[in-house]
Amino acid sequence: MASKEQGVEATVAEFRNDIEKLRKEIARVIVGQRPIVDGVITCLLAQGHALLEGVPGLGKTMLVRTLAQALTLEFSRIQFTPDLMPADVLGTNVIGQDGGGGRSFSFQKGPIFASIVLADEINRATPKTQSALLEAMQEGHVTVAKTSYPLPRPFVVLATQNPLEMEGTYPLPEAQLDRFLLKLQVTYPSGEELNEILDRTTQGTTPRVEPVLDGPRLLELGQLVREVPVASKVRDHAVKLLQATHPDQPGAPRATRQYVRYGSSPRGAQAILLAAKVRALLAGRFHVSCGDLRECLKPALRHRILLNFEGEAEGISADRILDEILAAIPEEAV
Amino acid sequence: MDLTSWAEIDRLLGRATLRLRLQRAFRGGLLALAPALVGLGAAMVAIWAGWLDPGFFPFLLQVAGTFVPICALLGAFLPVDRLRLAYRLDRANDNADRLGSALEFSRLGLRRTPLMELQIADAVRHLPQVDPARALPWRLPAGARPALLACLLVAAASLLEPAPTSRPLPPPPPPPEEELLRTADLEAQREVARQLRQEAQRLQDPQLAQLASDFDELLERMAGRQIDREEALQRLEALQAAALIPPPLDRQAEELTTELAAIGQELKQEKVKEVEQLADALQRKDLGRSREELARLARLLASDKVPPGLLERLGKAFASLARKLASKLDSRDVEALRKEIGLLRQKMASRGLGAGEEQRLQELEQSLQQAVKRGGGQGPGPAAEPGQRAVNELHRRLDEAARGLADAARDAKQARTPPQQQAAESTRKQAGEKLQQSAEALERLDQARQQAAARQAAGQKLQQAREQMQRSAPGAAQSTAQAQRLEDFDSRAGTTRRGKTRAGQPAPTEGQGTSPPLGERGPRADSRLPGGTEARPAGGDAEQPPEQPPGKPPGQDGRQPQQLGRRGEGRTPADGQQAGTGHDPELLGEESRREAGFQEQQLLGKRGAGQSRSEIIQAAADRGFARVGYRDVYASYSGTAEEELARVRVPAGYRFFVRRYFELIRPRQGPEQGED
Repeated sequence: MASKEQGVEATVAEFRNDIEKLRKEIARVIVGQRPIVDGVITCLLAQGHALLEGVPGLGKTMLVRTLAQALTLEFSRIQFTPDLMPADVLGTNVIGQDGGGGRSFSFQKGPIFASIVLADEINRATPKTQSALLEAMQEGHVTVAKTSYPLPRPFVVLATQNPLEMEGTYPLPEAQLDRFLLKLQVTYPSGEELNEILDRTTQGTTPRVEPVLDGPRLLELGQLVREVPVASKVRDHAVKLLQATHPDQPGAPRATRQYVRYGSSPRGAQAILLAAKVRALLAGRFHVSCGDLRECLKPALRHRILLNFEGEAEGISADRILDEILAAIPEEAV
Repeated sequence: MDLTSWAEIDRLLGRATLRLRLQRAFRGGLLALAPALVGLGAAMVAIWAGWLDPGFFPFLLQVAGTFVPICALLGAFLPVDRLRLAYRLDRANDNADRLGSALEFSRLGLRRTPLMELQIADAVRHLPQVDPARALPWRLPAGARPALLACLLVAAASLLEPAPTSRPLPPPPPPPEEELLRTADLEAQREVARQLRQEAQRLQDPQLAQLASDFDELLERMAGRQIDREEALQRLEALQAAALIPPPLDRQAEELTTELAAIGQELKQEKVKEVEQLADALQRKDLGRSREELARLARLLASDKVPPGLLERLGKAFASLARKLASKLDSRDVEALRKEIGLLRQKMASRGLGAGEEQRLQELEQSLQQAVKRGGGQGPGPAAEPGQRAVNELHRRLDEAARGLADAARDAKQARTPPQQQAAESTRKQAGEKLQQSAEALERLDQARQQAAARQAAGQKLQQAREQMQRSAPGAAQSTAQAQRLEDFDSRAGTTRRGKTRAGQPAPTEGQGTSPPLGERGPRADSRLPGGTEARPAGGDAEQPPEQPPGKPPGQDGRQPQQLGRRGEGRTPADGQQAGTGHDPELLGEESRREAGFQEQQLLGKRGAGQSRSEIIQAAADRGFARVGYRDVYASYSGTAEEELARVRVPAGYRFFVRRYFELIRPRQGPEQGED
């Protein structure tokens, strides 16, 4: 028994070691943005998808490309435009001629058939094209002409969107948003980080990223994440936090009752818990704490809360609602 | 899981649990201390206020002292959730829920995964950084400081001496200084006392002088408010009783004066010229003039110029006078003795007699037998009173004078020789001396009579003073004696009131019927009441003349217009309160008899402005209406006005005008002012 525990403990240690290596490789290119990097890694380990939101030029695409470079995984990048069609993403059947001269339809895989898919400026595509990602993101396979084609594992969609340019964009539908494990908001770098960015990007040498993890190892790490135990009190706390986003719940705070139209779906609690497990492991613990839950609350739920008219008119953000929820449901309530 | 490691966790949780229980006990004690202090404070306030017995405080103290530890124990032994306590330790020590999760995982038993085992081991490794003091610091709960301060205050207050529960009652308020007599009334009574003194000095009556002195002293004590109203009234009543009880001589004086008047009338018929003036004075009850006449006759007898035959005529006249007086006195003695004996026998039959009264009865019976045996009366018996003896002295002097005159007349006839003439002259002079002694006895009788009258007047004045004081008593208007006093007052003022006239004739009574104007015929009352009771004419049912037939109103012929038309009145007090339902069958009465001798008269008036108001008022006074001194009238009426003001609801402004009016008509202070 002790040897098994020691083996697990060694696995956890390797986990932390591998993730630390990954962080370092990413840090070769990406300056700062530790929460964003951790968030993306969390999505990788939890087998979830990430939506990165930020103004142009903050390195969203660079981050995803660097991550793909650090992992020995197939990477594809899709630039979403209004004229992008679902087939352009998923692939299509084309007529081909075999060696015997016979012609037959064959499926031509689209760019989604990759382990890491960068959906750049995903909100520029039409909802029809955006919806083409639903099955792939949730089920892990693509159905074309009644034929399902499994996606490679791991499969992670890392989408970016620009919150400023509203003209010619199509906001993601709630069902689509719910498929993303985390929504990461990329912020401006600090002055120190900006200096470092300038140093790296304006010199003659370009940082080279070496792959440190491959797909199977990533799946193992993901399996370890899911094995992290969660105490019932901690899980109850996650449930309370999720229920606090629903305006019709008795314990909902005032901001929720006033500004929220619909709260988070159960996927939100799953996202919180998975992200909290990753965070616990990354913190060197073997269990999830309430602090982990609370830290993961905003990226896991901010895209799952639908504001009502009053909230929209008042310019209330989802993060403000979640802040009030955190204040209303303290950790001592466990 | 390593048991040794888990024991460390359990030990830590045990320490935390003990600390938590102690804190709960402390908090519970403090929470119980607040209501206990409030209760004790309320009890102390109640004790200081005298609402609670101080002996009850130790009991309350014991209850409070028991209540606090009970609550502390209850708090200490409340169940402790170790899981919550573990999470609380994690929160306070920033332990990332290691203890709580480990405790939960430890309860899973075989279902624990390797990661759970690792987590528990991780929690054990982090035990040294867990300090229960951070999670369970000793802090005073909210409100503990005010509670402790209140505790100190209560403890300090409990050391103070509680106020005695039986506080002495405040001294009773001094009785209101009631004004027994107003200043004007007091001056009037002092004037009465002064008059009494003058009268006593004039009459040389020590009893009246003593009465005046006592009355004056009483007035001074009343003015100085040294006695209360009740005592003043009692003393006035005693003075009045003393004044109205004449001495024995006084009782005989008036009776003898009346008998002397009858004797004087008989003496006047004997046509004796020399005693006509005396007889006339006796008849007029003028004892002073009678004394002067006797003195004049005594001087005449003492002189040498005695008319011839005078001694004989005087002897006959005075012999007749003495005889008649003796006859009156004897009959009066017998009657008086029989009357007193009758009273004593009546008393003996009803209630029995005392030892002194039985002896008195025996003496009276012996005296009566002797008086009957004497027939003509030979002087007072052993039961005669001093007054009686004085009257008898007068009789004896007169008898001696009569016999002396007879002897002098006989000696004067028989005197032939000078020695006989000298003896006759001596006898005459002795007769004159006897007359002089009779005059002196008559003078004493006159003086006694005047003293009796003066005392009677003094008694009436004292009675008036007492009534005036009673009227000025608070609430006297409601007293039942007020009606009687007002009636007495009205009788003295010569007016009628409440169905009585001065002559005692029936008069209209309030609520019983009204008398129509003179000459009018009133409706006849129903003479038959339900039940067959005959009604009587209204007014003075007790004074109904016996000759009046019941149920028949008088004055039907118009000769008694005051009694016409009165409503019928039953024999019971309630009768006659309602209007009659019938009428007099002889409603119009009898016709005027033509044969009656009427003589028409025509009153002639005088043209002119007539008398002024003051002339009318003075003329009314001249007709004799005002028979009481103005001071007395003012005192009576002002007292009556005050009674009415106290009884009747009068607007305050009107009270002022009423009192102002009486202030304006108040008698002046001088004794000569304000009299009749």
